[in-house]
Amino acid sequence: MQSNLKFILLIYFLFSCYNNPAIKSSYNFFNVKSVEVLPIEDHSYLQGSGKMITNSISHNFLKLGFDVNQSNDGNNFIFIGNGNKKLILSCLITEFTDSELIIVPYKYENRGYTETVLNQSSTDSKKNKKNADLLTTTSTKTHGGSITEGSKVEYSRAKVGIILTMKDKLTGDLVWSNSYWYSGLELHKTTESCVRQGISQLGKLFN
Amino acid sequence: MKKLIYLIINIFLVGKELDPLKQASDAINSGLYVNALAYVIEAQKLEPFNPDVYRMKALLHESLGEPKKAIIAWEKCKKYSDNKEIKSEAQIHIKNLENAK
Repeated sequence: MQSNLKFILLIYFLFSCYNNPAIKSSYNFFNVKSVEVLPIEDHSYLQGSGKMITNSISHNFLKLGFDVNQSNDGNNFIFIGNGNKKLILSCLITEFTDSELIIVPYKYENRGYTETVLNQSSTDSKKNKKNADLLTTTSTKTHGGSITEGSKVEYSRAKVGIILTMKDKLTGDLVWSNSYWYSGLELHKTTESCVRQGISQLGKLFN
Repeated sequence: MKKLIYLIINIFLVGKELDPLKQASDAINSGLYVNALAYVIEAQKLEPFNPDVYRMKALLHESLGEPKKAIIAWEKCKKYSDNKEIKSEAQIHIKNLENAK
């Protein structure tokens, strides 16, 4: 019961300090040798989502110039520097969907129109051309316009959310954590952008 | 019969003209992002202060690999929206796109 409460408080804390990582200020990140990335559990929405995020984490570390090693048991190791501390990076997928429905109310304004009809007819007297008449009638119809409100416009988009936490392998101290989310039209690009936010922030710790 | 055909053609043409945002969403759902963007630009002319139009436009620019245009669209989305969540989403995208430059 108490551990559940602690977990809920931790999650609440992580979400409430959105975009500002929680950092153990006394920890020396310049003395880190490696970061071990633990296998990530799939989100219930999509099998393989954990693997996608793991690969994306490795990819982003590699892009930042760190060496990445994949062990036989599936864990990825990121080599940071010449220090003696080892860190463990774990990731929890909080959101992983490619079919979130966006509903946009829309309205179209018809500005109206004016229609003018011109009728011209002549009564031609055959007997006396001097008596020929010209009859012209004009009718104008004005349409005031209207505003049509549609109920909704729907399109689906992808949304990915993660919580990254990093702890010291030896002491078990939580030294860094943050949550991220990103949206987009395609799932793979959204995943990539979401993870990139986290890893670019992490990378700054070690540089 | 002629009148009926004319009516159907008119409904089709007028309907198409009236509703670019709906056309855009249909194009997005079909994965036709370039076409969708053209409709969104049309929709933007009709509703220049609608943040949802700019959000759709920004997402399309991002998918099409046009980060600078996406940032401009997100900025406008943020400016015209009163919704906290949408503003926050716009801010996240702007920051991410600027960092990716």
